[in-house]
Amino acid sequence: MLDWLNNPIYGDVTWFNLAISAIIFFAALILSKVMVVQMRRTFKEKMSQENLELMTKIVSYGILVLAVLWIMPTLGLEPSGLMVAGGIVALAIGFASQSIIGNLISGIFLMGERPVKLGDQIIIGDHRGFVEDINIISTAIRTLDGLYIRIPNEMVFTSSIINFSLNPVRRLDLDIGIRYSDDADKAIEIIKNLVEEHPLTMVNPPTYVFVDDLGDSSVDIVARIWTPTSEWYTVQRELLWKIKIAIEAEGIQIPFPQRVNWSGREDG
Amino acid sequence: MDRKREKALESPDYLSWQYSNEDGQKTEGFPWGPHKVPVYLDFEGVSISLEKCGEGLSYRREDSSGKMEKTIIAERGKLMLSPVEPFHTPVALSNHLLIELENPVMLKPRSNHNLLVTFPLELAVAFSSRKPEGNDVFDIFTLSRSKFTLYGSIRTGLVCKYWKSPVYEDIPAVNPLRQGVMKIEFNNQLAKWAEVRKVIFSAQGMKIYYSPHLVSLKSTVKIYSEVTAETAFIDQSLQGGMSKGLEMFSARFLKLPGRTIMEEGY
Repeated sequence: MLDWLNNPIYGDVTWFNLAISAIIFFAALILSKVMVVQMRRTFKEKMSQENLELMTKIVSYGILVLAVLWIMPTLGLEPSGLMVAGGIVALAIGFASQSIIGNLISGIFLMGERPVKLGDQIIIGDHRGFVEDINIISTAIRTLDGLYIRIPNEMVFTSSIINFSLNPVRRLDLDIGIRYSDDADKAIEIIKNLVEEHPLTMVNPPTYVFVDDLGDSSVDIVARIWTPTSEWYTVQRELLWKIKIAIEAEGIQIPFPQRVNWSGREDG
Repeated sequence: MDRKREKALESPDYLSWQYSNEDGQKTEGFPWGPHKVPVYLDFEGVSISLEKCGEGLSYRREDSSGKMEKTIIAERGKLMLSPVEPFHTPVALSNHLLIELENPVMLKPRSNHNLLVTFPLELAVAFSSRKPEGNDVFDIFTLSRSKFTLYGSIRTGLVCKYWKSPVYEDIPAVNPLRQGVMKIEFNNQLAKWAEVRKVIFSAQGMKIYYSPHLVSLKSTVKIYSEVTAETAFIDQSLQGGMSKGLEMFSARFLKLPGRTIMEEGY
């Protein structure tokens, strides 16, 4: 009844060989999925998410590659033959899929160099967002407004990258303009006290508050404040408005742009 | 310890907590530990209560920053109050505490010396039951000032919780709701004088002990070179009759509790 399984499809390869190969491949696929789930469960709290993702990918792809190498002879394909033909195939593949190979190699270099990690806030080219996934071919980021962007690794590798999350601390510069008639020393003191009181500003590196510029309409005070990188936006959001309220409560005002126009005749 | 200081520790009338349970009983010192439900506590501008509400329990905390309420679905249990490691508020972003000494300490070559410093505290409120789950912490807050600092360079440094402390020879009379007292056993292994300006401790393995009037820690600081020191904790109380506080950070994977290597100076 199942004699047809022994009918050849091509060469010595029969339907039975094909079925066995398919079973092995799907078993490997299931095994790789099970391994990934098991590894995530076991190592979730013992290693960083980035390293865990890398390890699961290596194990998952490794199982599939082994399965393919295993079923190749069953399908009449000798791996050793492929090795001999490898040069020609590589050349053909190289021409046919330059960009894919470029992305692949860039991906390998990126995984080695690690300029970005999962969860980092970065700018790559024109794209700004959080790194969601670093794949062998591409890097996925989630923009600040929640969009998903897939960037080919070749572009990531050749672009300049700004990583906001790499260093443990980040500086926040706040510019506050006051009237020329106001007491700048008093304003500086108020700003210093508010920065000092805020629990998320750093003691070291220290904060500097000083008159940075004598502008057209205002005396410009700058506050250079260091914060833990993850709390930069929180401090910016909370401090600027508090400073505005506190200095106005002391009678110091933030001026509108002003211009003095002279008109009339010079009788000389 | 002189008699005057001992008396101050025994009756800290500088603290303004009020404590009452349903029988209206009063207590001396701060009532750390387990309390039967219902319980009502007022201290330092904070009000805490846990009382029965229908089938479950209702927890409330009120302070100057606002009001917080939680419903606990449990039939029986106790409210547990314990000092814990100061790493949860305002945000949990560091596992290290840097204590800057108000006056640097000069240590003789190849010498040992014990000194005391203060450290910040957080207060954990837990639901304590006989079940194997033990104490479930459901609220953590602090009355201490929170600040952060960086130890090391901007590129590779370590963000630490910051605290500045005087150095004491005897146990100081401090408010046990806001500060604990840490005994540090300094060990200078150098053949020359060592000047210590700051010490860093890890959250892992911080063994906090408490009594109604004192919260304490014991630690060691070993000076290895001009820029390298090692800190660790000792699992002992500072005085007799103290109870062990809840541990939010465990030191399972470390041989030495709270071992920290300071490689960027001390």
